[in-house]
Amino acid sequence: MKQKVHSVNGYVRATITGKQTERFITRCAEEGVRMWHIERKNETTLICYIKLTKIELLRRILKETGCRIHFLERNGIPFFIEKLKKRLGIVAGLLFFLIILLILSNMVWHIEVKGADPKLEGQIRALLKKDHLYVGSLDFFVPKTDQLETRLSSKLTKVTWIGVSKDGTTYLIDVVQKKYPKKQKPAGPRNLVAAKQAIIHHWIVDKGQVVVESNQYVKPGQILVLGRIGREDAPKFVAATGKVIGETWYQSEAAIPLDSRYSVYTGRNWSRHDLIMWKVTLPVLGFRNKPFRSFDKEVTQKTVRFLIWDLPFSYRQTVYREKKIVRRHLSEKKALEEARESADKKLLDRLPPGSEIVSESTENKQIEDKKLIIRSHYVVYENIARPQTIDPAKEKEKLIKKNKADER
Amino acid sequence: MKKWTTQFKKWFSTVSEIPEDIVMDLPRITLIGQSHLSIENYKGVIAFSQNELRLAMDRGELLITGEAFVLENILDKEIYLEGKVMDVRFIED
Repeated sequence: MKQKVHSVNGYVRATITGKQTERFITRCAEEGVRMWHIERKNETTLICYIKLTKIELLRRILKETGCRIHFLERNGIPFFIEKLKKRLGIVAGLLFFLIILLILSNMVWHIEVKGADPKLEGQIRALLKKDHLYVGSLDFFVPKTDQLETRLSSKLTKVTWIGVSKDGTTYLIDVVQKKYPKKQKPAGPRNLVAAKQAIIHHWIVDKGQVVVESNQYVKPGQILVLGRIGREDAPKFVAATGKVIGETWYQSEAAIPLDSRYSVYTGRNWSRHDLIMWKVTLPVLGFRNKPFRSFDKEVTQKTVRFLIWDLPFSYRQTVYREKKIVRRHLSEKKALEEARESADKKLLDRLPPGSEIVSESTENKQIEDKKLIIRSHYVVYENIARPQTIDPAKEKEKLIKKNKADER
Repeated sequence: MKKWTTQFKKWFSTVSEIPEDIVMDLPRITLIGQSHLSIENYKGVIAFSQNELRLAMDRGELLITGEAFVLENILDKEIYLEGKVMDVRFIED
């Protein structure tokens, strides 16, 4: 135990030779030179341990008492360092090796993107690079996987689902791409019928026989374009294709609060870096506790790895984003404008793509609970055609029956 | 003069009930079994060998004899001896 305590400062095992060795011991005790485990070897010689002290002091005491010293062992850290200095190259090499190993253990070695076509993969990799994730980047600066997920999915529109997972030094990005409907196979014979009640406005028909007129009122299920062409006695059946644009009517409601509060980011950020050792947090950079009055906090903590082991150290990055509460008061006029806009949007979301609002009229507006509620009436042009397959054999039978009836 | 301070210290220790060895720098000898011996308030080492330790005290000498003595530790006011202690004796001038 004693040796361990002294090994920090270094100690020697030495023989003291002289006629007045006892005097040497007394003087050492007086001068504060620590000695222990003193043994008598013979009449003139002692063996003892001495703590490493200033050599001048020791020399003075030796001279005073007429003793001579001979070192047997040199122990402790100072001597060890002395030894190491002689082998500085090896030590430096070893240290360098450990540091390199540590860095390499915390590096991203591989990013695997699964389920994306080459173009999308390139896009994903470019986005990841903006978030410090690329082959060869240090893992400490990479955001958490769920953050990566949300960032990627908010920027990629072609993706239905994106999953980011981490396996050691490898990042795995699973992508489920939106599948666009394949080019329609040549469909079987079919008619186009009305999907909802409307007034026919115009049509663009590639194939088929149009059986409605402009400004004609149609009910749901009514045939718009017939898939039967040719003469009645020798009909041909085709897949009717085309668009029939009809005028339809909708009602949409929207409510807009006149007073609203919401928080916005001011764009000012403050990031703080900490090193966590076991449970002790060591601030490294930016250690202000509360940089802003109101903020959102984003914490990323990464454990330092060494080869396959997790070390009890970790690096933590905390980003504070300043936000402020903004109050908004709308005048009735402005509120009305906004309410209209939101009502339009609500409606368009419900309609098939390519639809167009022709006119709108606000039927009703009222203020209730500090909210402006409007109800609007819309006239919309939209494609109302819906395919309906036909069975050529049955159709022919029908025709024949009809013909016969006519003949009679 | 010195006598007067000694007298005062003695009086102080009886009045304050603080042990004499602390107030008056008297030697305090602790022997644990036969193997460990610690002496406080010694003045110096006169002789040390495997069988004998002779210490200078405030008045006179302290002679310890025995076998296989090792001075385990030496401090300014305290000394620790290890070995087999056979005899502890005060020798007055």
